[in-house]
Amino acid sequence: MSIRRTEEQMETPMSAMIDVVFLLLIFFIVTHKEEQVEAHMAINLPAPGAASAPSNKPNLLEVHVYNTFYTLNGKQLGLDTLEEKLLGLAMLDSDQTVIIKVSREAFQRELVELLDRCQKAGFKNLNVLTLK
Amino acid sequence: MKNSKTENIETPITSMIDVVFLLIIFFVVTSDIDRESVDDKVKLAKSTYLEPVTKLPKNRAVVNVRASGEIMYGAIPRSMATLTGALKQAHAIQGAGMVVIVRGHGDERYEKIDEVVQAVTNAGLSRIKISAQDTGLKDK
Repeated sequence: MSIRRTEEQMETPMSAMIDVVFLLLIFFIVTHKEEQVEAHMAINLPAPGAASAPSNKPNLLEVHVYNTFYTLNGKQLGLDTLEEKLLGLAMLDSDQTVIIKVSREAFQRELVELLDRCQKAGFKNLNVLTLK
Repeated sequence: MKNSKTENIETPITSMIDVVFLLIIFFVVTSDIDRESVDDKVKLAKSTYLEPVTKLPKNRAVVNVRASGEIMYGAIPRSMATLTGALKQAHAIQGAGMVVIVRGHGDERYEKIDEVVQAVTNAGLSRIKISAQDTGLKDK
């Protein structure tokens, strides 16, 4: 009898700790979110007061972003054709400035898709303006 | 003899506790601490070729634009005027070199992004970055 009592007294009380540990585990499982890797693209803003960027210079590319389509120097194109054109132009001179004019009606993803293609082509100097 | 019987009845919980603690450590380590600037309601447009960001710039202001059109800065909805004021304040605290990161929902019209861009310009800032979700397909 006396041996058993001594054994019982020596046991560490684990139940409460296990409860807390499981609660912590459940908390972390519930609140855990898959990490979303973001990508950033630096763009140049128009200078304050500038109504529009000059677009008639030969070393400037002007791309317009509309809802569902794009134009390159005034010519209407789909995204894949635009990508091909941009790749070709970047091979000639990837340092040239790209003026991107975005329609207010266009979606943000359409701008991101264009920026993505410009990055793929190798253009670094991107200016984003709003199409008035 | 009686003693060995008692030992057999006990459930072996040591290894289970080990596993549970390892799981807790995993979740603590992988949980993103820098969540103050990330709005879960913003679903970014996907990008393949833009440079993935491993570390955000130290001096930054993150503006979120939700699909509902709400412009959020510091978890507070902002109008263009209040956003300009808040960005000016942030600029005064963080100093030159502050970058404004625009996290726009992919399905939001550019009109709202333009409002943010105007607020950034009005606040006297010029460094702006457009945020997208990296697909991780670049090297595949």
